Amino acid sequence: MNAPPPGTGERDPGRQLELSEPEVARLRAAEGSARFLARTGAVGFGLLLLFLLDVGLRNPAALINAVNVQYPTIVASGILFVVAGIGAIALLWGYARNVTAFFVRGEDALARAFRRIRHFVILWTLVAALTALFEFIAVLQRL
Amino acid sequence: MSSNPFEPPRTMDLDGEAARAPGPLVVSSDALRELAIAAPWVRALARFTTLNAVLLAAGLIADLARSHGAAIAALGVLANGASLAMTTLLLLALRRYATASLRLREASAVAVGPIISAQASYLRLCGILAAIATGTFTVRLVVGIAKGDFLAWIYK
Repeated sequence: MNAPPPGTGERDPGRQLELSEPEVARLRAAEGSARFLARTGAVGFGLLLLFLLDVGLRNPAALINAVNVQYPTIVASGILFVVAGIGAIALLWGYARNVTAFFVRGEDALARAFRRIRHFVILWTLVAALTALFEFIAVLQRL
Repeated sequence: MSSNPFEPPRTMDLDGEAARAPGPLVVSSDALRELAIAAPWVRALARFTTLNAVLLAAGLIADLARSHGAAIAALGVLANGASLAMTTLLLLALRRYATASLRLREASAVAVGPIISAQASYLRLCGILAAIATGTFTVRLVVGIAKGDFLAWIYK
């Protein structure tokens, strides 16, 4: 509907925009990648949790000892990554589902999809900030 | 169409490849607003990722400078080097995403295409890295369990 005038390449930002075929293809690719990332992450975290549960049940003292020999920042960074990773999986899955719904039902779902990806970016920004802090402390400890 | 008269009515499957809605696919003003307000966060994520890459490089230098055993030092260098390479790749995709988001914020709606493209590149890269990490972990787990020596010091 509000396609750019031929030859200008600019579109009015205050109005709705019609996606071109290459943009639709890229959105489908983003949807597929988000779904794949969410599934792979779920499998990875699932295996990790099963592994930790197995070790914790068989020999909890050794697990506690293995944690104690690490720098606290490395342990904190690992716990943060797992907790945030579970949240990220849920947000990415929501993004993929809403992009699919956009292709089926229309425009409302795309705003929800972009909200999920915004929340994912906010979550990952906080993770990156805390990881940077932990890395900085770890580098100081190593020097 | 199925010939089974007892087949239940089909519902929309949101987890698989879905049929396309009739008519043009339109990005609403709400969706555009979501993309625009994400811009500062994308830029912040790119900056913190840059900081992490710098700190990983510093850690790499610290590992090289330390006088531990050659095998432990090599392992540290390998782990930090791999993390640094992955972070740099993610950073390239993120910078494209941040640049396109900021262009949209500056009322250039033509940036929607590059934002979607950058999202796709970033998510694809994250997916590849997650698959490599999960695959490596799974292979190590399976081989270690099969050989009976995986983390034997923990299972004692």
